[in-house]
Amino acid sequence: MRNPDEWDRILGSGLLPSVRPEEIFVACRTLDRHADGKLVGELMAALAEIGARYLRKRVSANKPNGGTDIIHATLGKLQDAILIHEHPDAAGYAIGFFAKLDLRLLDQLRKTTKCSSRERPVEVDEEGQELEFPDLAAATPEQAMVLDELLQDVDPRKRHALVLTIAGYPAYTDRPDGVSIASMLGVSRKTAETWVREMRKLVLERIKE
Amino acid sequence: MTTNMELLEDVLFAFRCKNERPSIDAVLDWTSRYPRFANEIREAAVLWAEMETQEDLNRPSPDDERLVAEARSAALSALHRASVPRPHAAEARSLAEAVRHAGVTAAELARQMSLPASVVSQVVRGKIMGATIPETFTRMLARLLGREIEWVRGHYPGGVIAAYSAVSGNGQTIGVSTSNSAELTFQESVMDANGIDEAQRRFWLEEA
Repeated sequence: MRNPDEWDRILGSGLLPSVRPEEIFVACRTLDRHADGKLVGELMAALAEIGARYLRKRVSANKPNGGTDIIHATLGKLQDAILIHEHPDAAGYAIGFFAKLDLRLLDQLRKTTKCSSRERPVEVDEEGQELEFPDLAAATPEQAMVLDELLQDVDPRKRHALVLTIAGYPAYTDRPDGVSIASMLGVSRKTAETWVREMRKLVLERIKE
Repeated sequence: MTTNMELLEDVLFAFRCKNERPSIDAVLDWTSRYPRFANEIREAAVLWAEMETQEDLNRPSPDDERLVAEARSAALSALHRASVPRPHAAEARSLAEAVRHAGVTAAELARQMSLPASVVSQVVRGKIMGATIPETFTRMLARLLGREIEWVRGHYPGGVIAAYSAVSGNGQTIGVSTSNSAELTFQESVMDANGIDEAQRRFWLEEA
């Protein structure tokens, strides 16, 4: 455990980025907030920055209010875990900072997914299914922007079908213990296959435009 | 703590920590280890996959710096607010009050314990006989409320502290933790609950 002088030195010499966020989190909770208030403030602000940059990458800018409400709400829970004496999340942040942050982000996504479904039915043809799926990380900024808009625009269940396709899930499997998009989303084989086909078609269309 | 007594939060945290990606194998492995949390694990995997896709799509934007500045300033405000003293947690006189102080709802507690909200709500309102409530439930509830196990047990209907408070409370009813309002056993409450799946029911009736 570092003492306040060591933290001051780390901050003064710009070495904070080399310190693990788990360690910064523990310091925020254990340093004396009254005696070392300025230091705790700097460390909490630094941790909020680390969290904000991480979450910014994982939340669509096409969510309500540019996704910033979701990010600030998630970071608010992080502040609670620092400031509330016996907080149930504290142990988790000290072990896996980003994993815990993901779980709190998940809470927010779960909330917004329920209340924002704007369905737009799409004509599906059978041929879209066989086409190669594009690598999203390699998409141009313009393509990425259109795809992001598409993802936020469709029914959340279809968005989920698409992200599972990207994560390598089949639409359906015959294996009794099999994990597929149908089993993950609790829908029939036919529905899962239709959604996947529809989303593939939309993605390919938008990328071509 | 045995694995069966883990809360949803612990399971999802371990699921997230032990796997690099929300892969098919990860879901298969964890849903078979924790069948009563299977739905929640699948849901977490879907939302996790969404975050990963988003990482591939998101590109840096000038607006990011404004978000960072806001986040830093919000952290400082939170620290500032925390220097104002809050009412002490130990002041709660009933389970319902402890739930309010913990800033959670019965529905959130229920989700963490993989139980229907009706069961948790009946326990909190003192409708369930303390002697029938499983130790596992009491431990989980104590942890979620940030209380000692003894404190929680003492505030069940029929509990020692609840009986004492009811007598000493200037004739005022304290919460509803009085022994005469408890009508149900925990097991009846679980049996009667809607929206409980077979794995959850089996866990709470047979294992807990």
